[in-house]
Amino acid sequence: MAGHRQALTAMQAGLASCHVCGKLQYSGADQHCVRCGSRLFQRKPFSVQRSWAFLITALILYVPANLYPIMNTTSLGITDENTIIGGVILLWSVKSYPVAVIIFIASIVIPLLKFLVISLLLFSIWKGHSIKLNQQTRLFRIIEYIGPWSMIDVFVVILLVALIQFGGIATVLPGSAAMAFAGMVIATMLSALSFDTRLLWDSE
Amino acid sequence: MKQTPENNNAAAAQPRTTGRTNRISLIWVVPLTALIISFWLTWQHYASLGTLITIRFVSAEGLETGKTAVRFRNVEVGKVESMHLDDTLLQVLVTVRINKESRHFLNESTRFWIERPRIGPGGVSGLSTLFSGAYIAMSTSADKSLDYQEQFTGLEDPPLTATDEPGLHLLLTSTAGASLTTGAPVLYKQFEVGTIESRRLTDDGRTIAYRIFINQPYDRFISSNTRFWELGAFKMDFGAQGMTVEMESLSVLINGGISFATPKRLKEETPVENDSLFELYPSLSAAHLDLTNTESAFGFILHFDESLRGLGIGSPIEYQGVQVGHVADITIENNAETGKLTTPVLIFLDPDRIGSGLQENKIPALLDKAVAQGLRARLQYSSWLTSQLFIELVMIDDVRHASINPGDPYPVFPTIASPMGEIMNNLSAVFNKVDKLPLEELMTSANVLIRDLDSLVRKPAQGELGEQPQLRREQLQSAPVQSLLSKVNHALDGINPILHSNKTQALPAQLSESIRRLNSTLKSVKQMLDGDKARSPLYYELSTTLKELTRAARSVGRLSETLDEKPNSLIFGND
Repeated sequence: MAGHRQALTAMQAGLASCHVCGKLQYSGADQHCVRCGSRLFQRKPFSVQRSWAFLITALILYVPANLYPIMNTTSLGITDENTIIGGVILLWSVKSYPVAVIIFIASIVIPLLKFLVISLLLFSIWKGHSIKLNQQTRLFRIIEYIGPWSMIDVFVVILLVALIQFGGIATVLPGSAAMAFAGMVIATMLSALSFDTRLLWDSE
Repeated sequence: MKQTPENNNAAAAQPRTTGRTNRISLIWVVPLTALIISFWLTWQHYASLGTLITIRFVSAEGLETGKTAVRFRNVEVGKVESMHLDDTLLQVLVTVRINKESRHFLNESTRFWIERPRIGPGGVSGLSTLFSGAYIAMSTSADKSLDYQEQFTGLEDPPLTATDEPGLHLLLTSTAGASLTTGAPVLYKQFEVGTIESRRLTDDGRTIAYRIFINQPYDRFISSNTRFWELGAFKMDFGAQGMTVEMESLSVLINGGISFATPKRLKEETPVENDSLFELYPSLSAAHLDLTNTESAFGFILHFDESLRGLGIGSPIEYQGVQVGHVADITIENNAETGKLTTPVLIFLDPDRIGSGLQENKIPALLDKAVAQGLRARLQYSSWLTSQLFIELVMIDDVRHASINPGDPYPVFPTIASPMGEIMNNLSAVFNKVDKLPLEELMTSANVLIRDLDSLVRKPAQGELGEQPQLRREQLQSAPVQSLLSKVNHALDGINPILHSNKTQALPAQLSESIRRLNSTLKSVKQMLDGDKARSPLYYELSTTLKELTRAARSVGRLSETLDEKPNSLIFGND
């Protein structure tokens, strides 16, 4: 593996780029950026631990996010509590297939995908990689990119809550799962953010 | 941030240790917190789950699993979890989860029913459920002594009174038909104080039993002396004052209603317990009630030795024809000392009538004084035809001294026997004497006498007809004839004293006198009719009356003819 790339890395050259302003400089004993004065690291500190911690938080939050109702719809005194999966099934049963698929993908598939990918990457740092490095990096990019789209469910709830407030006729209130779901999405994003892809290259 | 010094010093030499230290980052607090919060929430959820209870309903109409709420005074206390049919297929078993904080309200007295929109005679209820869907309503009491329970049978109709509503439950039995419906009001002075909770036919089928509820502040109007009666919607009376129509409120018109009153009576008043039994009279008149306000009136008890037939509750008390009070109650009492049955009469004297211009507290003294001077109460006929009685207060000059005796609960007013009572007594004495006369014996002897005379008279007649033309001496001397003669003698002996008595002697003279008077009367009548016709006023009036009558008859005839020909002339005139 090492045979493919013999390029000198910044770390090997004793250089570090500032995380804030991107200035490449020697990481001396000073540990502060010569330009902006912020702290200078070779690698994000505790990157793996942070990533793991946020991933586990997200996993924990994933349980209530799916078990509890995300939205309480009260129309004419009848209160309906909708869980995410319940909503998907309902939409599917009323033949709104596209919407059902979108919600299913955004709310259930994407978070799961993120869990899988991040844990895969973390495992590969820990145990040594089994997939090609640039594929791993591409996976990470995808995850990072689609991550915020999981919030679509939360946005729907927020919009409905804001729009539908007609007292006794129809009221929508966020359910307890909404908070958990939002927390889960944020945790996965933080997990991805904490992940330092350069660690993958280090393990080369 | 927390990079180790070695890392900094030998960054190039040990690149792989960077960012992967063996120390534990503070960031692990985040998932730990999430975990703790999740566990705490889960634990709280299960801890507050509450108890499962089963309610049996005949039908689960309008109930939805997981949605239908159980409400107590419109506060949600639980939710329907599941529904099944029971094995007999006659009932639905509804499993309900009752919130933990409401669990201790479940006891024997707890009742459940399904609240749906209802339109009944009492009004419309549960309209809100039209939109929100049915819910299970609950009613219970917070009585801690009642046993905890988890199996219930739901009611078909909502109970009319909440389980723990303060008030009085009573049972009324009525022999009349069940004209009252559940939910009908119980009125006191036309003010709604309660409702009819249920009605049923008693097991023997003879009476209708109503269960009624009187709300809290009004139950103090009920005592052992209370009488209940059914309210009729209409009441019509034809009387001397013309026709009067009374109508109760519309709600009574549709549902019927019950009213009650607690008059002052001779019987001791005792407070009433829950589920006491009362009779329900079909009408106010049947209840024999005195509804006059007796708050400020003076009550007295009268004892009469005579029959009180014709004296009723409400009969007037009069003094020289002016009503001063009324009869409030008549009972039969067993005198403990003598063992005799007496009929005390409770009367109330209206203070406005007896002591006009006087202060009320001076009236007893006034009455005492009047009684000392001879004021007494006695029974009097108001009409000889109907034998209606009233009580008359009368001043008797020559009477034995008496006074108003204090008694419990009312003082006793002195009475005297009524004048017609005396007349009646005398008459009955006369009749008794007549009854004792040996009339029957007298009649039989008279009969015998007549028969014998008859046979005596007939025998010679037979002889004349020719069979035995001559009466034979032997025949005359025969035994029957002899006995007959002796009997005749005997009879004549009896008649003689009657004929010779003074009264009999006077008879002819009296007879002739009567005849003479009759004669003169007839003469004057004749004079009146025959004599100077023009001058006799009677004749004149008679003849004018007759003339008028003839004229009236003629015009009636004419009218009938006109009507015959032209019936509408009555309305349109004779044109």
